[in-house]
Amino acid sequence: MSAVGLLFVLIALLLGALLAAYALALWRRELRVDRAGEQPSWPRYHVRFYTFALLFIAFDMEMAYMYPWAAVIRDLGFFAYAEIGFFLTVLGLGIAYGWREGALEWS
Amino acid sequence: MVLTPARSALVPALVVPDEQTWTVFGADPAAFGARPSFDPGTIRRLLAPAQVPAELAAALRAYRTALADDVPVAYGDVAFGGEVTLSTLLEPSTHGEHGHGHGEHDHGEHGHGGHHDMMAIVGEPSADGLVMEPIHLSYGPIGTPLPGGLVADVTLDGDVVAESTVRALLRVERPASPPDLLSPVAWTVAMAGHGVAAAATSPWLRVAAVEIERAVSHLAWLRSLGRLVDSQPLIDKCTRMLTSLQVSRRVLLDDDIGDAWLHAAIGQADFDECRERLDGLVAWVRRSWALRWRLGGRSVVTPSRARELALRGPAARASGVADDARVADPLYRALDFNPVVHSGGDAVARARVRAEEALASVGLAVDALAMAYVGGDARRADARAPAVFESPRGPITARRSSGTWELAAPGADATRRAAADAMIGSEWSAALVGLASFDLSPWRVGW
Amino acid sequence: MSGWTLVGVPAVALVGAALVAMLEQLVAGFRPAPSGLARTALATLRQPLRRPETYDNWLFHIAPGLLLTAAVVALATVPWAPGFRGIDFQAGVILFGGALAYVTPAVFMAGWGSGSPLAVVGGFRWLALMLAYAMPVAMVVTAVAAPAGSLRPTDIVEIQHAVPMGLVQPLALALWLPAVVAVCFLPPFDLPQAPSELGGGAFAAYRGLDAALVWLAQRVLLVAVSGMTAALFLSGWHGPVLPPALWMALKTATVAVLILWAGRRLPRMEIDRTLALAWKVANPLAILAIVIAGGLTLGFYR
Repeated sequence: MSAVGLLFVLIALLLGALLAAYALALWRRELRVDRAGEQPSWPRYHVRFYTFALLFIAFDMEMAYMYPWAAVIRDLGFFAYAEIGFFLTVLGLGIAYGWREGALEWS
Repeated sequence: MVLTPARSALVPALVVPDEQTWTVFGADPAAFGARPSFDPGTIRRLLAPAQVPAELAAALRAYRTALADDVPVAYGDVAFGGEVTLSTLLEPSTHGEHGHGHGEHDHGEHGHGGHHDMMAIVGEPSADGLVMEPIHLSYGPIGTPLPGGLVADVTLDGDVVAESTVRALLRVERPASPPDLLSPVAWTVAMAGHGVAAAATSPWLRVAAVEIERAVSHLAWLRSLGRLVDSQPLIDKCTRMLTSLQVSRRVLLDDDIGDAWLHAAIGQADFDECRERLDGLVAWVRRSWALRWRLGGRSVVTPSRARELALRGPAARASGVADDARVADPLYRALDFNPVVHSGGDAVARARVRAEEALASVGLAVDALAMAYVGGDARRADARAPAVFESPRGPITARRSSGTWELAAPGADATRRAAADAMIGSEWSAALVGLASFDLSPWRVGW
Repeated sequence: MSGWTLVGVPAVALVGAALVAMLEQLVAGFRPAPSGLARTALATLRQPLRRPETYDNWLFHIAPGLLLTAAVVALATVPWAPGFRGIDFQAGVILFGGALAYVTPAVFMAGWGSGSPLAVVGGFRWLALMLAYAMPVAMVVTAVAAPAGSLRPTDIVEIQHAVPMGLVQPLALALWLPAVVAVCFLPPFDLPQAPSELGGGAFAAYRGLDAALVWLAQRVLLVAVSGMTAALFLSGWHGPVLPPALWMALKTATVAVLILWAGRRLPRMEIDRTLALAWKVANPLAILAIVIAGGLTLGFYR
């Protein structure tokens, strides 16, 4: 059977079970709403989140290319290895730059 | 207070005296033990003392409303100084749910959220020049690892502390007269400097009692620090030490003295074993990389700042200022006392100072008991206790005025200011650790 | 792989969660008591649902469901035995990482939807933590898949029939374990809930079915993560005498006990130092692990 098909059916079953559980919980006991606190607490997030998120995206894009590399390196041999070495070096330079510029500090 | 795990399956929540402060604990029944839980969602049952100070009663009521609706509340008599076991206190059949009912759902001071314009940025620019909306938070007085009654009003900038004030909901100004079992011995000793008969009349026994109290106070603080950083090994070690030391403390505070009693006291207290284990604990605190990683560099108080604020007590001693009222005491000089001083001024230094002081205190208590047993001539040293006395948190002075006693702690305000200032600029959990490292307690004079 | 997989995976999830709960009691030093557990579960489920009145009610209620779905999908990718491989997806390890990625917004939604200051703080800390620790998971997965030449977990298990990957690539294992514990928000990485600092934090406002789902999702995540560790690093179901499924169960249980025990022993990680550790140490080392894996592949696994 197709794995993807099974996956979708599994997720659908799960969602169905969750909805049923919530319906049961709501039917038996009503939903209680608490009064809110004295003020909403949704501040703007600090700019440091942006720097961490940028780093994350750089790495994530790299990983998107690493996955197929992992699947084929065994067959393609040293050439693929050298190529990925170059790729990783560029990425490492990116981290080093961020480190020097103080993008990795929290407070 | 001795806690043993309940045998019945349902382990409820407790409000327990934790070295004579009150902290609300919850217990997860699946854990089958009185493991403190500060998350209101996991509390199944709440037991509170029958007598709660008025200032804390409102906070306790508000805490009660944060719990689930079906959490039963029982008001029981928590006996201080006696052996209280969970299983006897908390049998569901013998303790009916009498008393105050489920508390009011009184959110009088909490208004409705209101509509808030999310796009407008208001407020002062924060430390790095960005204008952020600050979060105002009141941490405490109940349900936190800090002593009950302590409130930290902080303004958070994201999750970094921008401003902070530390205050207490209650304040102890004068002890009960005559002093009862709850009064710290340091108070009675300070008053003894003015001729009041303390519970133990021999000065050596007084010294022993005070030093054991100091060790107990420091270990209880260390345990609460362990609860804050969630370090189970530290909590277990401190709990074991505390139970054995509290037995000896009770023995020493007994009124009846005599040779037979002294024999019994020395035998029962079993100080040598205490000292060995405490030595192991102090070595562990010194070695522990995890503790150093968590506490290192937090809430640094430089020596110049300590002198500027006129800090006293262990906080000053951890910043390199060698300030200890015991140095001037001839009794302590006869026992070869040296104050424990560390430089560094951060939370690690304060933890080390208290741990090493606890170890030194047990040693001093043993020596003092030996002097008492041998009949060491207290007249050779000055038998009267001085008017300034070193309590576990700093010096205490006693003054008699118009029939009542007034105790004052000269360094208390400085410690509170240092604690609040040291929180600023740190991230939330680092700030909490720094605050806890100053050992503030509203249950002691001046705190 | 057949329709029975759809029954098997939820069954493994529920049974695994119950077993993990008992392992937790064991690690804490108490005798495991299933009856106490059942009683707590029923008490929690009987509580009425509760929600603080904020603006993001939908997010508040979606978060537990999303968390559980992510956990079960992650569990579905783990191969348990030659006869029961879960959803034997060709890019199974990517799906595993992808399912774990859904845990990030789920926990953040819980904190944000709760609206109270400490909950929001918990949510933001979690976000920063996950941005840092999701990377070692992805990178180490690549390092482990390279020798196998395939992203299918079953193939990775097969390649370990002689030597477990944990012995060949210890650096990868050392990076994988903390990252994967962080994804489960278990101690010492329980930053979003932080019972002692945040009073329950992101999950404090949940009652009733929501709370039960969050609890269940965390245990299922632990089972999934332990199972995948056993499959990727401890040679899965290979072993001398016992049947494969039993080996897999034993290895999974060992990893789970190790994680729970470490959680009890170590104090909670602090966000600023943990982030510094992640970006300055863990991620560069993960790059090194990939380089080492490539070399090993070319040298030994052709």
